[in-house]
Amino acid sequence: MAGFDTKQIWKVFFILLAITVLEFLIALTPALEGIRTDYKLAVNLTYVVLTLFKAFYIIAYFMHLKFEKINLIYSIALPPVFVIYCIVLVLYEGGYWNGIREENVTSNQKIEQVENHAPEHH
Amino acid sequence: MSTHSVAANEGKIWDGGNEPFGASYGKLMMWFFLLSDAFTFTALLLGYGALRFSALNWADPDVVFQSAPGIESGAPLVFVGIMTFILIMSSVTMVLAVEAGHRNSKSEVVKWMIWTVIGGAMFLGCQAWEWTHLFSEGASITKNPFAPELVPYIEKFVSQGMSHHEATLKAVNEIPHNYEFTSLFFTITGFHGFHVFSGVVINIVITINAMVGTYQRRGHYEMIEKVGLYWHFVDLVWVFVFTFFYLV
Amino acid sequence: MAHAATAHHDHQAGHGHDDHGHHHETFLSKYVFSMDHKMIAKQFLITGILMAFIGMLMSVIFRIQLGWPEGTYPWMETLLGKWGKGGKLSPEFYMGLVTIHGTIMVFFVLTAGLSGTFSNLLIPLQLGARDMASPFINMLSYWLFFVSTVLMLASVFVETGPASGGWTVYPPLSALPQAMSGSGLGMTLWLLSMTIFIASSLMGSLNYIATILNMRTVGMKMTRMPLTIWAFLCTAILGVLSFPVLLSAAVLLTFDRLFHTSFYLNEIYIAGAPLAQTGGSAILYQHLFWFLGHPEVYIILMPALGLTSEVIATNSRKPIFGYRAMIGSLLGISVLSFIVWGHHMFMTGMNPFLGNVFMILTLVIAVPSAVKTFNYLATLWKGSIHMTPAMLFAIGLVSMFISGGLTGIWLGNAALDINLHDTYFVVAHFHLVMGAASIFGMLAGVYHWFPRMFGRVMNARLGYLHFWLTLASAYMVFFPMHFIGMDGVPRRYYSFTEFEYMKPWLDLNKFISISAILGSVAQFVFLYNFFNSIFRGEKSGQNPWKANTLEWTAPMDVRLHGNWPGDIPHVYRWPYDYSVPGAVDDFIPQNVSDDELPEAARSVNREQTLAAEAANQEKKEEASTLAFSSLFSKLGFRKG
Repeated sequence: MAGFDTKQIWKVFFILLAITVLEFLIALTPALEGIRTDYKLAVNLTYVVLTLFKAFYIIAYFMHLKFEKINLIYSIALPPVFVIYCIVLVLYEGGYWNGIREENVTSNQKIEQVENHAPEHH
Repeated sequence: MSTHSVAANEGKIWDGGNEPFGASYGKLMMWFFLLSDAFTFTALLLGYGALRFSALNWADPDVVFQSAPGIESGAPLVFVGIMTFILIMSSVTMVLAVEAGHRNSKSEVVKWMIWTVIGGAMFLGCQAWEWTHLFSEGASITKNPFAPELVPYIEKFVSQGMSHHEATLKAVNEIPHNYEFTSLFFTITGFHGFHVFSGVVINIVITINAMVGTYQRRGHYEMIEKVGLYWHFVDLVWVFVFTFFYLV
Repeated sequence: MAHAATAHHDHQAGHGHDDHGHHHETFLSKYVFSMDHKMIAKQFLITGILMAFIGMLMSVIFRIQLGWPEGTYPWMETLLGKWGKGGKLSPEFYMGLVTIHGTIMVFFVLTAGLSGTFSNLLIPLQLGARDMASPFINMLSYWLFFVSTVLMLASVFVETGPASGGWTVYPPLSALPQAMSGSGLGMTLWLLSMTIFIASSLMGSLNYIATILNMRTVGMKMTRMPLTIWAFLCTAILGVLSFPVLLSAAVLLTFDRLFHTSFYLNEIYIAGAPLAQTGGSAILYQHLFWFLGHPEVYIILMPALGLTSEVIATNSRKPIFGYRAMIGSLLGISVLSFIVWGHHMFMTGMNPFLGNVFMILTLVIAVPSAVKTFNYLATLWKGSIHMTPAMLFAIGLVSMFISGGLTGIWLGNAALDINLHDTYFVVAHFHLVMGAASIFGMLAGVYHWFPRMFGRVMNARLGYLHFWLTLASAYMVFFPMHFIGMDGVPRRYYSFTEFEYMKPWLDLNKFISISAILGSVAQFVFLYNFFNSIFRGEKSGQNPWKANTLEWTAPMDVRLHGNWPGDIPHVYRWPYDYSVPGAVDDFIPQNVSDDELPEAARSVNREQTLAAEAANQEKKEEASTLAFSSLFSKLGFRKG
């Protein structure tokens, strides 16, 4: 059967290992500390992209999907589109809740200030 | 299962009396089950993402996961790195078992399956250690000693003469705080651990089946392939859990 | 699950399908733990009918409360005990009844009872398969469903009452046992029951998909499958992809209840004291729930639409109009159903921008729905219509689908929804388009395939009586609700006498309640007809409706596990060859090859006409809808 040979399997293993090591380097190298705090979003996106690479190698080679018929590939690969849509929307929503929480905190602080200052006006 | 396959239909894969995906019904059902299970995990991780985005502050993974057996602190991500390595390794041995199955080599299948079972068990052991360690630090599904809002209280208690450990326990038990991080961590890694556990059980069953020659008599090792799909899926989920809990 | 699948595989590989009929069968293996898809279909149907009656009687009890809020009924105390003290339904139990009525009808009757029955019955028979891909998992699917119904009914009898937070069980009401009496043990049982139901549904759906893909007989191309099968396929795909999300939502909710996490709880004050659980979001639950919840309404509706296509084509003695457009619209509805869930949440405090996204996508659903409606009407047009009870119910579905679907366009509009949200307008909308329409489709299916299940025909006179009473009462119940809703009367309220502005509607409410009781009585006509016909109905013969599909070629009298005694018939044509010019009969079954037909009726002659029609159709489709047909052919499907 195509795609199953030990050489290939070990090659994929080393790719996965290399990606993971790369992730560790990004996360732990002291010299990158500044980049990690200043460009947090970019670093996180890098992690996600690297993770997707790993997921591709696991699904394509270990789970052997790459060598299945094109129909099976489509029927497994297309439905996650809904998931991506859902993730984008709900994370956007999470950011919106965050805004509301921050507003609540600032307005509570304002109320406290007003209450603390209230006796002075009398 | 193709009791009515007809040679004339080869090449016209959608015409009936055929397997249009080139896969048996069992393999198809496993694939679609995994697709379904992927949606389950996605929903859990989605909840994690939404709650984390909405939170005003969050625990720093480099602080939470900085211990390993024998190292109390200062080794961020080392232990989880070992766990990841173990799980990927067991995925490799599983593929090797599947590959041996295609060659109908019973002894090799059994050998690689045993390694896979050992890998799965080791991973579960690591997870047990990690959870126990977090519990000892005062974490539980409703207590989050790593919540940033507890830091001033912990510092206050330390200045009153407590050790850092005691101060953390006191703060986590007495001060209301946001414990979404630990709730989500234990729920999602627990759900994943449950999958690993059931995977190990199934792996043991098919290893025994392979040993006693069930698949040899059947003439093919498709069962190893189907269970293998499940096992790789567990690995796949871990890749995402690793990224979103430990790295991001 | 994986293990179960494999266990059966061993059995299959051992001795194939053909010798199933020779197994020694005991009562247990034949009627209880049967692995024959026909028996499992009957089990689903009878459990579904039982649950439908329980759900219906619950609705009668709370309709009596809504129609006569001041009245007292001694029998209510006899029946409900402490929940009906003094002959008056208690508010707590009213909430419980509304919740369990919704849950039973949505999940147990219209998901399992409808899709479970007809997918199991028709998929192997119409495709020419001996049984489901995995009969063992099929049996497991039914028995898990049975366990979940028992648990759900058990929740009605616990001391603190059944789950009472509405069928959507929104937190915090459902998450905090102290919120209301129904949020105690009753709610826990609800979650447990639903978890088991999801497992059952998943097993069923996986089996349906694997069977449809792998077990079609020779010649049964995807584009020769009856539209019923297409509908079941889309339904199963929706089930596989959407139910797991509800599972996750239920797991998180269970943790909130049992382990005091706060995934869905934030800043809650009970009697002035803040709750320790904080930092979550109740809207998160709604997102997860409706990611299932919206596909769920199509899981309910699509099998009914599929059954209707078949019944209408057969009884109009005409090919279904726009076969490929019908498939395209099923696929279109399936895809759209995953990306519009937020239209249930316009008023929750969700990000208003997302409201816009959801609103636009929601209104697009009108396109494939309209394609289906027009195709039904065009099939009826100039047909030689046979008004069997099944046909009447199928036409009833089209009527309900239109009148309920039109209000969907109103509700899908975020601005109008501000006024209409959570009023009786919504109740009217979803009862017509999802409840009544699907029930009509299900009843059409029962009347049409009753001979296939029991070898006898249901009494037509009683069927007509049942139909007209049901149709009239359905409109009499749900149509007036639109007006009540537009006046702003909220759903789920216990009494209509509390607020001045609701009082003018009291008479109309009495009318609705009387109609609901009438409709319920009509269902007993069906119940009598159903069980009486099983034993005393007229023998049906082999093909009572002169239909083309394969299920009518399998012998009716012998209860054969394996469906066909000899070889499985091969398929040579699509299932809608009705009234073919030049043919002897007005129908040509799918297993008849061209060689057996007179020269003039052969498909070779018709192919050019059909090809021209198809090309025409394709152009129209691409212009009007989302060009699904082209996507379709890219995916490897060919015209049959």
